[in-house]
Amino acid sequence: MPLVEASMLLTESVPVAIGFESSDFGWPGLRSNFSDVGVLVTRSPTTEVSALAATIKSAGNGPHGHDDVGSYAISVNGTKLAGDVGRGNYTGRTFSAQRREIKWINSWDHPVPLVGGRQQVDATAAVNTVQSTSFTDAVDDIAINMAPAYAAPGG
Amino acid sequence: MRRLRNDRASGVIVVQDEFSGFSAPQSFEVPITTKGTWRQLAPDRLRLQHYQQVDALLEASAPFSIVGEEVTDDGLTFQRVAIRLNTATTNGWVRVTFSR
Repeated sequence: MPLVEASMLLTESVPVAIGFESSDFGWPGLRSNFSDVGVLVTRSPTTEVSALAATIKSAGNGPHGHDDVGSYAISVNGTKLAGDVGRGNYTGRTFSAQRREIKWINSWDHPVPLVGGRQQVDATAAVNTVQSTSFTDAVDDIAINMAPAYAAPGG
Repeated sequence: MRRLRNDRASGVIVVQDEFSGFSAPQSFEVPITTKGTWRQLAPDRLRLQHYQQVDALLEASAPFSIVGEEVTDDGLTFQRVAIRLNTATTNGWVRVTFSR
């Protein structure tokens, strides 16, 4: 399961503790920042009308990963509305030399830019590319340098 | 550079992509993908629906087109909606603001 899709499970409608990280308690706070694998989940209190949540991925995750550095998903009350669409059926093709021709493995099905018509280039090995983060009760902000995931000159 | 900003006070999530420093003009597009449905409310606004709904306000540094297609591959069908800058450029940005 793609990491972004898996992390969407953490945007389910649950009580959110304002001002606390998930690691502080056994239940979600405003965000879960898994910086070691490059996944951020940012939520809104369920008491708010919008209840928007997002998850974003900032790194590759090894040979079984997808070309999805910078991929994100947007959910409302735990229902994914936009972004990473997950995966299709695993077949022999999935684990063959044609693996990265599959659109839900390469960049095509991920909400990441096409630059000069080019997709990401085997982004599975891309290191965490977070440039900055700012987390407050009012705003979560993350900036990701996606250039290493592309072959485009100048990124 | 991609920036994602969850502005809880305003009830919006903003995804902005900026690119610069290319030696030659490049085409540039940013897709929105969904397993739900979408429709265009205005030249710069989409509505995505899948049990719930969310609107997407589209802004860019230059004129853009919205290009939608249904994609099916190895058992997965989804909608891909590209925000495509109309002309190649060496730098620019695309911003999508999600709100309810």
